[in-house]
Amino acid sequence: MVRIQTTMVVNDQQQRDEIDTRTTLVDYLREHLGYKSVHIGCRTGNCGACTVVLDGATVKSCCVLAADANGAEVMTVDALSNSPEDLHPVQQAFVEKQGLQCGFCTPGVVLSTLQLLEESPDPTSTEIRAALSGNLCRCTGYQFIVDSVLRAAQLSAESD
Amino acid sequence: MSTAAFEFLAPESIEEVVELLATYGDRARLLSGGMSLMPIMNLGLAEPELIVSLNHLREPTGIIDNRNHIHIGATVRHNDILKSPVVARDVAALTQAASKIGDVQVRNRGTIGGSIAHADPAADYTTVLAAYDATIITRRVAGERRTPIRDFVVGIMQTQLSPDELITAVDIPKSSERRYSSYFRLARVEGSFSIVNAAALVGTDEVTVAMGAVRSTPVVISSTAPSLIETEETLADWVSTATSEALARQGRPPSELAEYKEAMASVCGRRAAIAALRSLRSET
Repeated sequence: MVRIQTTMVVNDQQQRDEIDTRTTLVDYLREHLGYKSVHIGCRTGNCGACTVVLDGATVKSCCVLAADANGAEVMTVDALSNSPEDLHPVQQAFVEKQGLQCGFCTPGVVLSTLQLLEESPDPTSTEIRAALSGNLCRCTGYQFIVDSVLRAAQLSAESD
Repeated sequence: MSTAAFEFLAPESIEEVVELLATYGDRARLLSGGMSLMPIMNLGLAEPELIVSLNHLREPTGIIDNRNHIHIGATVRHNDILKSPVVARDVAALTQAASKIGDVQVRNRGTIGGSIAHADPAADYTTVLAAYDATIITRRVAGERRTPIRDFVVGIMQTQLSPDELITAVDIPKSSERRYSSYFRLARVEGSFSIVNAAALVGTDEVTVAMGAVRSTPVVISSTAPSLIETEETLADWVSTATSEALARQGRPPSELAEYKEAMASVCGRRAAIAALRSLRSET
């Protein structure tokens, strides 16, 4: 095993560790830091369950080495709210429109939605489907997710 | 997690990268966006001794509008190509190709140099670069070399890149006369690799169409006959005929899909060419 020092900011907290060079970012976030909201679906960059925000852009954290994220800022869905009573507008929209069934894909979907709304605050259904094409959902058939994103756009506009 | 242990280094300069490659050769792998290498390693299909990350280089990289070329640094990510007004103006087909790659997360991370080096025949950029006769710029300790993309890719996931060499940039030539390009691909669903794809470059003096994934390297047809672009029909007929001839010259590979791919490559070629011609007509 080869070990390497890493420093990164995760959800506004400075993290310093010594890890196996083989550790992917998803494994680092889950196993070293305990962010179990970052899910592992495929480990091949297909499903998007492990989506996190790395230096301001969504990435699939199974396809990033933790060592390569050295010096970076990482955000997981955990950063969006502190309690179920105080949800982020995007999370609130998914609750209202029931944009999930089993919930496995939801943390990634929420972060992809957040990125979409930052770039396009009032997206069309077509834009939403394109923006979420990197997040697979095996339950919903996507329609309720699209409805949730449309609602999220409304709630975000109201909260501004 | 990857099975075999490896060293990880993140140099800040290209000089350090080429020196590491000179020492380690094919025992090292370059990690750029990681959109191909990471899945391959996660599946245990690659076990390098050393990973050299290109994500911490200090040298400036980006998209530069030179007099004769659009110069794109190897570590430029797909999303930056997609959003570049320079690329959209002068290499429209590359913008279109970038928009088709994977999904948002993949485009946020993957790089043009990584895609070219991986040389998947179904990748999106290579077909466009072949249509434009772009030049791949590579570096090793001995120095820099420039290789036309049409020579650079030699087979399925095979390039002229030697184990001690890395891609630093790609130069896409501009022409004095305005040319219009378009990219069209056939894929099962959004985000999946092309079954076949095509890029067309249409000007009043020359038409070039490149087709990808129909053979192990892009198939390029070109003509300077001005009558080609008289109508959409004359252009489409030429694409069909020239494609058939070019594919026949190369021989059909022993694959059940080959005949279907040939037919679809011709369709993609025609659609890309007609779309490029329409851009030309709408602006002139």
